[in-house]
Formats: sequence, C-alpha cells, structure tokens
Amino acid sequence: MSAAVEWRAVRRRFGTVTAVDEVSLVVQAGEFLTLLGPSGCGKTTLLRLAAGFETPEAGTIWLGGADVTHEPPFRRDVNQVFQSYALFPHLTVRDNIAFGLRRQGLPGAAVTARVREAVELVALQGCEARWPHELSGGQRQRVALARALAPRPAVLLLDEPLSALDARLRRTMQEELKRLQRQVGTTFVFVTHDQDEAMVLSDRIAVLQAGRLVQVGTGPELYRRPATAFVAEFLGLTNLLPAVRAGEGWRIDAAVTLASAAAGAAAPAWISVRPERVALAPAPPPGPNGFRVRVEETVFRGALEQLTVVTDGGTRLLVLRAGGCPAQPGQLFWAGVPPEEVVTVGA
Amino acid sequence: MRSGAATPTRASGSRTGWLLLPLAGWLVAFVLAPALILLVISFATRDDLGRVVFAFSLENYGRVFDPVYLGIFARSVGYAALTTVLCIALAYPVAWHIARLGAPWRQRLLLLVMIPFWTSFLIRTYAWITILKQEGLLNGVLRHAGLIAAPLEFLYTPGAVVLGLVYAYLPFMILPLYASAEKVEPSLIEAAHDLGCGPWRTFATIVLPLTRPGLAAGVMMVFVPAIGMFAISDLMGGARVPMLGNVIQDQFVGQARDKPFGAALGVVFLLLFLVSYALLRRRAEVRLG
Ligand SMILES: Nc1ncnc2c1ncn2[C@@H]1O[C@H](COP(=O)(O)OP(=O)(O)O)[C@@H](O)[C@H]1O
Ligand SMILES: [Mg+2]
Repeated sequence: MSAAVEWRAVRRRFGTVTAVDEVSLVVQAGEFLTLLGPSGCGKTTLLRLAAGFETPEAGTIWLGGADVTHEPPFRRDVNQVFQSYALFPHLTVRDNIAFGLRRQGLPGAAVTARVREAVELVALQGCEARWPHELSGGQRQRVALARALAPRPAVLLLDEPLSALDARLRRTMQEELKRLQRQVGTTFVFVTHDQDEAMVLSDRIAVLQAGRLVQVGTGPELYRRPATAFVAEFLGLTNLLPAVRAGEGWRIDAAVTLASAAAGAAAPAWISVRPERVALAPAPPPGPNGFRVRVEETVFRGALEQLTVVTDGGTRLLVLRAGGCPAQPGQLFWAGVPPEEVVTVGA
Repeated sequence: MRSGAATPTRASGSRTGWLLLPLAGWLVAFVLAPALILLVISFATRDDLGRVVFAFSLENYGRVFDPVYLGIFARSVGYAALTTVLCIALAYPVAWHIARLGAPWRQRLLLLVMIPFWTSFLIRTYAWITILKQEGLLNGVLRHAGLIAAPLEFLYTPGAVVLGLVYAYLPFMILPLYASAEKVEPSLIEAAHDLGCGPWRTFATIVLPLTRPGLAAGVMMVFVPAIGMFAISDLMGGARVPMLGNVIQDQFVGQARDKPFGAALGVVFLLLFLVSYALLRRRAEVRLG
C-alpha cells in the first residue's frame, strides 16, 4: 500500500480561528477514509487543502508521493464532490459529466464512451439530455459523483455529499457509494458529521475536534477503544464516568468500583462504558463488576429498551437491552459489566 | 381544466389592469408617438426655408445610402463597437471582483461606480477636455516627467472620442455585468478549477455563459447609445470626426436644417437597434433551451 493523500503537520488559520491545527494524516491508496467531527471542526478546510482551494500556513500536502502544496487545483489529480453539488446550470447532465474529460484532451469518441460508463456507474441512464434544474436531489448527487469520477482521479474528495438528502435516500446512497468505491477502487476521502454514516461507509475514520486530529482507526477500534472522552461520546451512546484509582479497579462512587482489562493505564480522568454492554439480571453476575441498581426510567425504542438506572452510590447509568419483558421504574436489578468493556479514556 | 384554471387569472388581471395605465400612457406619449411622428416626417420633404412639407417621398431614404452618410454610419458603428469591446474588457474584471467581495466593500465600490451619475455629463466631459488639451494636465505631467518635448495632440482625435465614449458608458457595462456575476455560485468556479480548467478556460466555459444575460444587457446599453452619441464627438472630437448623432442633430437644430432627412436617418437607426435587439434576444433564448 502507498499513500494517496498525506497532510504533514498542516495548519490553516482564518483570522483568529485555527481551522486546521498541526494535522498529520495519511490516506492509503484505495482506502475509504472518513473525516468525522462536529460542525466547524475543520473537515471542509482539510478537504479544500487537499483539493488546492486553500494553501496551508505551515506544513505540506502530498498526493501520490509528490509535494503539491503550491500546485493549483487544476493541476492536482483529485476531484471533489461539493456539498452543494455545484453542477454547471448551463450544461446538460451529459456535458456536466464530460466537462473534466474534455479538459484531459481525450478524443470525442473516448469522451462519449467514458460519459456512458460514468452514467451507468451511477445508474442515470436516460437523464443524459436533462438540465440540472430538472433533476431531483438524489439525481443531482449522482451527476456530481459521475462528473467527479469520470476523469478517473487518483483521489475523490466528498464534502458531506449526502447531508442534503432525506433519511431513506441517504441510506440508499450510502450503500451505493460503498459499492461504487469497491467497484472503481479509487481512494475516497469522505467528510461527514454523522458518526453512523462514518461507521457504515469507512475503512478508517479520522476524528477531528476543533481543528485537531484526535484519533484515527477503524470504526470498531474507535468504538471499543476511544482515546478521549470526546471520541467516546461522539461515536455512539456511552456512559462517561469520572473515576479514581482504587486498588486494582476504578471507583465510580461510594458503592461501585469497576475492574478494567486496561487497568495498567495511567490514571485517566474518565472511564467509558457502552450502555449495551451493561447486563441486567435478577441475581448477582458470576464475574467481577457486579453491583446493585434501581430502575429510574424506561424508554421504549422499538427493538431496544433504554433504561436509566441508579447505583446505590447515586450514579446514573444508561442501559440498552433487547426489548422483551419491559422493566418497571423502581425495580431492582444486579448490573454486570465485563472488565474488557470498562474503557479508560483521556480527557 | 385549463380554461377553468385560466378564468380566475384573467378576471384578476382585468381588475388590476388599470394599474398599468400610467405606464401605457407614458409609453404612448414618449415612445410610440415620437417614433410615429419621426416615421411620418421621414417620408415628407422640406421647402427652401427648411419647413416640413407633407408630400410623400422616398428621397430621404435614398440619401441615407449616399456613400458620405454610409461612411459616417460605418464610422459610428465602428467607434461604438470599439467602445463596447473596451467597456467589456474593463468592466468584466471590475464587476467580477466586486461581486466576489464581502457585502460592505461591495456596496462601497458599487457606489463609486455610480457616483459619476450625480454630476452633469457635460461637466465631466469638460473635465476630460481640461486634462487632454494641449496645455492640459496630461501634457503637463508628461513634459515634467521628461517623456515628451513638445505637447502632444490628445484632444480632437478619434482616440479622444473613444476615450470619452468608454468613460461615459463604462458604468452601463459594469452594473448589468455585476448583477449577473453576483448570481454565479463561487463553488461553480471551484468545480471548474477542480476539473482541470485554468483561469482563462474557466472564464470561457463557466463565467462567460453564466453572465451572458448581463453582457447582453450591457451591450444594448453601451453599443446602441454610443452610435447615436453626439455631445462627445462634438466636444472631444471637434468637428473632425462627425458621427451619426452629429449628422442627425445637424438636420434638426444645426445648419443643415433638413428634418425629413434627419428623421429618415433616425428611423434607420431605430430599425438597426430593433434588429440587433431581436438577434440578441433570440441568441439568449436559444442558449437557455
Ligand atoms: N473562508 C473562511 N473564512 C473564515 N473562516 C473560515 C473560513 N473557512 C472556514 N472557516 C472557519 O474555520 C473553522 C472550520 O471550518 P470548516 O472547515 O468549514 O469546518 P467543518 O467543515 O468541519 O464544519 C470554522 O470555525 C469556520 O468558521
Ligand atoms: Mg463543512
């Protein structure tokens, strides 16, 4: 594997805001990497630095092993799918898709063939002669994809391409994007603020917070071993509990001390316990980490039941379990958490 | 279904139609009526004292095609075309960059573009004369800088006329171009760069087509009036470079005193305007599909 895109210690400021702060990140060729983070954390800026629409104040940008920091966008072998799609309103679907191909100086017949190929790839057959304003949101999305993919760039950059679509269409497009990426084998750098979308699509996820890169890893890695409280909370639901070292375990409150598989770690500020990893039973569980809880509130969530329980020490915990016989407020249970599910995280 | 849907529209149209009466009255009184009077006079003749005699004649139109007048006509069109091209070349970067600025600067610069309208056009033309004349500002500066020994003749040259025309009409090109440029999404420019276009290609393939309505409006507002402009060629060209507007003016209020012939020139000019307008409209419609 070789690096398709690399940001080396890149920094970009706007006035007093540091949009991208000392970010170093490598995207491998053929990889589907997602930049994930809340709005304003610098995802778009990072993408625009790779596309060439922004120049870093410090650091360098590398594409396919070459330093392109000072190359203009039209000399970079990357194409972007814009959040607003940015389809050319005065060109038909066909001419939009052919736009980049014509710049490559391909003969007319080759352009036609490549446009047909791209149209088939995004299942837009029959729409070639239409104008952008005649298309639905999903269709525009596909044209934008086809237009960016047709010139066969080494890297495709996608800036929240699905955020304007409704939930159902979004799900369909997620599946199609994944299929498309496997089919063409192009490196995808995808931007989203939706952790669910990031999990569904990505080989690896890079989590950003206030312009800084916090953690990079596969979805399961980030979910199971979040490096910071921010990552733990941003990816899925979790119980973030302030804890102090107590012998071999971590004391949560006066009544509960949890053993952790990663107990050797330096003293953290927090431990994270996923709500679906807390088991509730009428009797004490066999392993360590058993403690008594009282049900405070229950919420029916379809396939799952969401409970808020309180320990004898007064700590509130969120618990998710398969729906079945619903619990009643006031009901008492024994809670159990396997030590490998007690994760220590940095602040 | 169609007629049912159309009926209420028509009814409400007739109820509010009277609101259009002032506009219709204005158009009849100041556009249609003068044009008709011009048309009628253009087929008349004149007596020895220069009075209009209503005897039908095509003689005036025959004279329009006299080589002397065709020459003036061609020169007027040529100057107007050159003026238009120079205005386009100057106005595009200005309009484009104003449109890309933040709101406060945009408003300030647009105000600057419009400020000349607050003073008399004649005063501004005289200002140019004081700059360009033999003992004027420009010659003074050039001589002080040691670039020239004797004063050059700037005023009363074709160059001075074109300069005056460009100066007078530049805002009429900037403003419609700005209105179009402002509507072009910045992401479209980025998309063009992204897909391999350098600055010139981006201009040709994206900016130009998307600002065509503004360009067409600007051309109509510069080219056509520039053909008929007489004050600038009078003041900055002296009598040496008469243009169509000077000839027409001469027929009505000058020494020639041939109103029917002036009217015929005016009618031909009006037709030229209408035909070029129709052509531009047609092209705009074809482009939009
Ligand atoms: N052109 C710009 N001018 C000023 N501030 C900007 C500009 N672009 C981005 N920023 C700021 O930089 C930060 C990161 O922005 P952005 O990269 O768009 O974040 P994201 O895409 O993650 O929402 C934000 O605080 C934003 O306001
Ligand atoms: Mg963004």
